[in-house]
Amino acid sequence: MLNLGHAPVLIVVVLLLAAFIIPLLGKRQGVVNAVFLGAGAAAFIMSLSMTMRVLAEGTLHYPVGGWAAPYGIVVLVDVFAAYSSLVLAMVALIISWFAVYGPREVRHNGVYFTLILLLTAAMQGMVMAGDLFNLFVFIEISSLAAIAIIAIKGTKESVEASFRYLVLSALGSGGVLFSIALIFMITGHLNMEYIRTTLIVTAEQYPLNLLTSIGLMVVGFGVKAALFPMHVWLPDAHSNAPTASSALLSGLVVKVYIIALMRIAYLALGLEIFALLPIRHLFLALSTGALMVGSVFAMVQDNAKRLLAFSTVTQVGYIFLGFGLFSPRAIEGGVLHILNHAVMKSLLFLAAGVIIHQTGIKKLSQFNGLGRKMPLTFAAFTVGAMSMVGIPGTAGFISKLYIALGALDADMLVFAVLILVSSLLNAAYYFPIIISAFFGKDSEKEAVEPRLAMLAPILVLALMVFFFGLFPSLMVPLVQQTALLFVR
Amino acid sequence: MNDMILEMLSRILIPATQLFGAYILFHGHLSPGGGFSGGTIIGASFILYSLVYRFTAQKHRLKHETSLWLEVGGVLVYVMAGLVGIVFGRHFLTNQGVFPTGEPGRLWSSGMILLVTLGIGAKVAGTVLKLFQELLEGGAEPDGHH
Amino acid sequence: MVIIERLYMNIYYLVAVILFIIGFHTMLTHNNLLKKIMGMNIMDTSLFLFFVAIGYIHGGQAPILREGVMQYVNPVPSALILTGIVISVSFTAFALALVVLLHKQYGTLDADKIIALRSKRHA
Repeated sequence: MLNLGHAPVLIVVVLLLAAFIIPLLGKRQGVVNAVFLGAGAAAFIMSLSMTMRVLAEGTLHYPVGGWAAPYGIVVLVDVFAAYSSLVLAMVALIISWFAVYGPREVRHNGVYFTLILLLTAAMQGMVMAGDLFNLFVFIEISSLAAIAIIAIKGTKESVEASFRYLVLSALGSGGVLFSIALIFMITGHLNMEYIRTTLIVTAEQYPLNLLTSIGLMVVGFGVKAALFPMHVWLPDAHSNAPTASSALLSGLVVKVYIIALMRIAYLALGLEIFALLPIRHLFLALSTGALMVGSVFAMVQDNAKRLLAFSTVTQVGYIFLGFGLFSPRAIEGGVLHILNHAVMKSLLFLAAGVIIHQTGIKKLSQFNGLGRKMPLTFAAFTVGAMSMVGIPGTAGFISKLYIALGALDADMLVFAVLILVSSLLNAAYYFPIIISAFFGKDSEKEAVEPRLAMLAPILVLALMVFFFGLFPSLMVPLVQQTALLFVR
Repeated sequence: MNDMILEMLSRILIPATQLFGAYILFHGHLSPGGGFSGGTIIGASFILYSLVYRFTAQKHRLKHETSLWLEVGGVLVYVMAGLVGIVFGRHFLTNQGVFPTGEPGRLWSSGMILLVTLGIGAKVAGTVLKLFQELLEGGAEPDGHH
Repeated sequence: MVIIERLYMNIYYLVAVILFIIGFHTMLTHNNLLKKIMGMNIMDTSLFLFFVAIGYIHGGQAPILREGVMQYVNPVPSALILTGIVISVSFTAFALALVVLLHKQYGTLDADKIIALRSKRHA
């Protein structure tokens, strides 16, 4: 009955529908879990089929309600959107499994699942939106849901962190909405492709509007994507959330805003914007700051989840660096890093969450000797850390290599050196943890491996790190075609 | 506490508000109005009801299930109306080729738009009530009552 | 005179930008959490005004098909702003809910005091 050509809307609809059905099911936990995971799996299958189709047939335009642009709302799935949707669906499904079978950290699982589904639906909608206003609506839904999955833990710290996140997030949304208004003012369109064709004519007449608009947009999305120096909310928010939320937020949510920003850049504003304005240089400067500051702050942390949160600041810097360098290989690296970081950071957060749950130890300085008691969990943690550092054979190596090669292509050797230095800094804070966990003296704490259902998502993610590290060719057609969208 | 003035006034006000809300709701696809505005007005009447009768008998209180069902029911109506288009081989949320399209000035035209508007109205009314209930009882239980 | 005329022509935009800055400033600098939420609302309202002003045509009528009316204002921004208002309401409600929780946990609405209390717990 259902033709998969409708996948672009059906992905969002299925996730939203499941989000609203779960509260009706009440206390029937088995049914709730089934609906929750079923919706995630359905989204993943549809996303996969959609990606295949985009690869075979090129960009999909889905007119909602059958009304074509510029009057109707169009869902626009190009290679980048398909790739992002696939990454989101895949990683979100694994984290959902952990939310069901992992340690229970929230009182009302049903509400939590509803929020996670709303968040994933909004993220899927955001990467596929064809017009600026729908993009904005999805940004707001995802922001609200993201704040809610932090606050749901209910501890003092998490509520405080989520309020701070809410204030800054609202500021970011204000900036984005203002910039959309300015663009609408000079083009009269909200559909991104129509904006581009109109801007070619009107951009010269209203340079100030355009400049203000782009400035507000970069700041607005920068706050939400935690681009240095707008990352101040991130460490508290990500480290005080329930484990599954931390993985979702660090692994996916911050990156979705980068995807949205880049999609606006090439779809709505046109690539000429990169030549006219020093956006690239801004990205380069800010990502350099992120690479250094994130690592330095991460080094002095003793709380496991806080360290991972600061590491996210660095990794967001890598993605911006890839787009800032703007050579084909650097963009491929940046786009690949969206996937690779999603996998490895989720892995690290989930592993850290399991360790904290099994031992009750949050401090890294007390991890000594635990690796011998929980070998599988710590092995998975090691894999994630190795990938963060960029050891060959892991996923992180591939994307870092591509960005570094891209830096050489762009004749900016200094950034290749920067990546090397940053990798060494990563090693400086990840390896001591692992060494003390496996070779440190025995701790008095009793620790056992968790049950298999809890461990499964972590092992799957660890395998994925190797898989994408050893067979990067799997994603290459998508990533290469995405880079072509930028460098035509 | 039983306040006669409040009770008598609310007996007039609540139906009047609801009627006005319904008017706005039903005219959403032809004239200014629509699901959100109408839904908020109906939701406001629920809030008035809860405020006036919250001190009297327990049986008068609007239950959490009411707002939940309104919310979820509204979304379900919306999505089902949207899916009809797909089932008929057209696009999501379409009127074309499935429902008769609208004529200016005729209330009972324009296919599923009215249905969708009603769904949104129910959803918004439910949400307004739910927000009120949750904020009112926020002191009772840390993360709400579900 | 030219300046005054230009200001008058752009009065809605001007007011919107001033309101935006007021909201922005309130949100960032005030310590009281409720005032932060008020700032958020002022900022949102300024954006609604800005959006609606874009669609306004001087002398234009409400966009309902009627005889004898030649000029309509642009309905698209108004329709968008309705959605914007919904979002703003949800953000406000959610922020208020968080403030209720925060007040219960920390006993104050002062952001500085909350941070001080939190760091004392950590120490």
